[in-house]
Amino acid sequence: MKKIILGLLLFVGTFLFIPAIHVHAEFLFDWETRETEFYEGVRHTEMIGTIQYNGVRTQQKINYLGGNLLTKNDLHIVTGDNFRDFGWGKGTILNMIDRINEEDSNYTVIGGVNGDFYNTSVGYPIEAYVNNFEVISMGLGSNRTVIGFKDNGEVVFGRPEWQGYELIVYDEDGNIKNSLQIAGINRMPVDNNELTAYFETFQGIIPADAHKLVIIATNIKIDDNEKTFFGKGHLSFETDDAYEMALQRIVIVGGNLNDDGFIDSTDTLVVQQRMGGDFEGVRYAIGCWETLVTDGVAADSFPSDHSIYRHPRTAIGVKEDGTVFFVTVDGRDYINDFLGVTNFELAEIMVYFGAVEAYNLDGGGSTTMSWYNEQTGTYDILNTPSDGIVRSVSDGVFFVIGTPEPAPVRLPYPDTRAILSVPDNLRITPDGLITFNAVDHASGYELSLDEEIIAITDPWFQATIEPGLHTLKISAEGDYTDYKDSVASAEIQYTIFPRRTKTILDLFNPTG
Amino acid sequence: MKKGLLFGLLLLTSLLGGCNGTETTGCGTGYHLEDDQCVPVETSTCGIGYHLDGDQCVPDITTEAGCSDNELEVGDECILLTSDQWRLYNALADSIELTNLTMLIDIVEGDMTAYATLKLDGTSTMYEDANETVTVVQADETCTVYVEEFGSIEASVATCPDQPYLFFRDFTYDMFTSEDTVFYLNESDFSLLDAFVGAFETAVIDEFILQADDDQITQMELLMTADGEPVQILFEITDVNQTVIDIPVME
Repeated sequence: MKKIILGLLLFVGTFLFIPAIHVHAEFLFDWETRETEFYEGVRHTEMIGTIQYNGVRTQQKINYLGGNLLTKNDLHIVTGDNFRDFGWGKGTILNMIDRINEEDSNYTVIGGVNGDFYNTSVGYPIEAYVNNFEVISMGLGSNRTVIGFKDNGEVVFGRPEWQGYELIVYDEDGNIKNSLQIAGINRMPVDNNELTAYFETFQGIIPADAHKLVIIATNIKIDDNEKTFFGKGHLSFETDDAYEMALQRIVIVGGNLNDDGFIDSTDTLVVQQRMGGDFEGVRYAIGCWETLVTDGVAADSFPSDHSIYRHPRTAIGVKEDGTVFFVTVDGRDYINDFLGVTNFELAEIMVYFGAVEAYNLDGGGSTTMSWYNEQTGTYDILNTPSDGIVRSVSDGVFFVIGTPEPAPVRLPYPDTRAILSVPDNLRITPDGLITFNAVDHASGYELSLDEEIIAITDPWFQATIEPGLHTLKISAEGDYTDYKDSVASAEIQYTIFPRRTKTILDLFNPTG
Repeated sequence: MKKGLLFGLLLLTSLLGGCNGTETTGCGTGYHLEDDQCVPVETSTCGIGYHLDGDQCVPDITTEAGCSDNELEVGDECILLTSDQWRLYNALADSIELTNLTMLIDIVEGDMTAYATLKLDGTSTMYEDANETVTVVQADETCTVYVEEFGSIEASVATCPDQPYLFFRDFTYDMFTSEDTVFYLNESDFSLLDAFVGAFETAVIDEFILQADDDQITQMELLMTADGEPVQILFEITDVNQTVIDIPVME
């Protein structure tokens, strides 16, 4: 009897203590090697082993990259691209990482993967693409899923509610002075209440008798079929005359446009689609295709035949606890017998890693995962790209560490806020203590120290500065309802003497 | 014969010792007394105008009143000075009495040079550096202190601050050794610069060099090591008796 009990315990124990085998429906994952590393709260795991799906066993090499945006406040997800200012373009994941690291000082990329399917000749993505609140594309009408990322770590999935084009007027500080509905593109307004926008795809003369704001563009994105428009620039001039449309110009047309002169040349003007619903407030968004996992259940059907073929694949998923993760599966590697996975298998792999929601990103030769190598200070490609080289793609999605710049705040319109007084009596002591008089109603202060802007809340700041000549000025920060920022104070210059020099000077200074 | 022998001895003595009974030292020009003997000045290891006394160089002095043109009368003694010493003596004598001057101060620490100016015009004092201008105007027992910095002027009436630190007023010519056209403060007198040393936890004077023209000190250079780092301070004295201080006007 004892032998029977012992045998039973051993039998049960065998199942309890073999963590390498995961069973979900007809899916088994038996990994042979598993290596994990962490950096800045992001986990990378590489697993090589065998999966079994519906009785078919295949050898797989899988890379996982995941982090929790909700629990680690300085961890964020951003989108990246290699687009030109005017038009589109392609780039490798490494190009995109370099661009993020160079152009956005707020962030350092930890790692990421390729993004959406795309037009292979021009490089525009098939679905929506949002980068730092700029809705670069609303997609080409494929009706696929979009994944959006908000500053608070919230991740939204689904179809954005497209609410039409709008002209957003940002002031010099990046706050929204106003936004106006754009009723149509490349056509005249039907009445005085309507605004329309002309882009460079319109060739001809915009008729007279309607007020026009001619914008010198800094960025224009239009797809070949004119499904989606994005434009950004600065006001050049206003006119009621006929205007012959030119390249790299955007023209806003409307009867009573800018009567109050609230738009000026220092503003940044953006024409883009407004995202509503769950996607309101999304800072970054990227398109994907097939839904792999819903409510923790792997999909059992897909809209495209390509789902049944083995390919290298890339997917993005979210876990119950808010962890976002990317997965790549190697494929088309006939020498090492890594042929890739079907979308059915990919869905099971995402469930294996704990996804409650997961979506398929572009795969095949596009599948790429990169990760920061602490030892070399460079970025490694973790998977084996099936092209033999890292493919240039449309966009990517990345974990970054850092603090995003503040989100734009909508100011009252018309803006009747009172202007705060300029802080006076700006002083600095030899040991770097900067003081000034507080200003009533100021929400904070913006200190310019050698042209570096420092936000402070109290009317003093202890600076750590090297000996030498320094320049300072100060302004009071208002709020978004009652008080505007003050203008900056007059600049003062001050020399911080080296310590010994200061001591000697004090021997001669009557007040030293 | 005896007379001839006596004359010969005197002549020999004169040639060997250079003594001359008509000189106040008892020695001829170019000789000085050392242990009751006249010895040529050039045999001394000291500079011209000095001689060894024990192991120290001391000024050549006369023992009787009534000094020659090259001698300095100190009490009832005449001290023989070289032309350089006379130049320094005169410069220091004039500088000690100075109440109207401008002193430019350059301080080199690491790769940074700081500039300051100290002005005296007899009744007022002004200090100026890159950050502030302080003007002290004395009236009876109190002083008005104007401090101009950050683009504004503040005035206050208070007890007068200490007089400006004019360290060179305590110098005397015999504290210096001349070399070429400049004068080196003897190490034994570095204590006159104690205010510089005392301002730091650890500091030593490495060298103090003074230049003067016939009337006044013109430049001084102080090299010191303060808290382990070398500091060079240059002082230039200009506008003697021509310095004018503009009293700030309060708006």
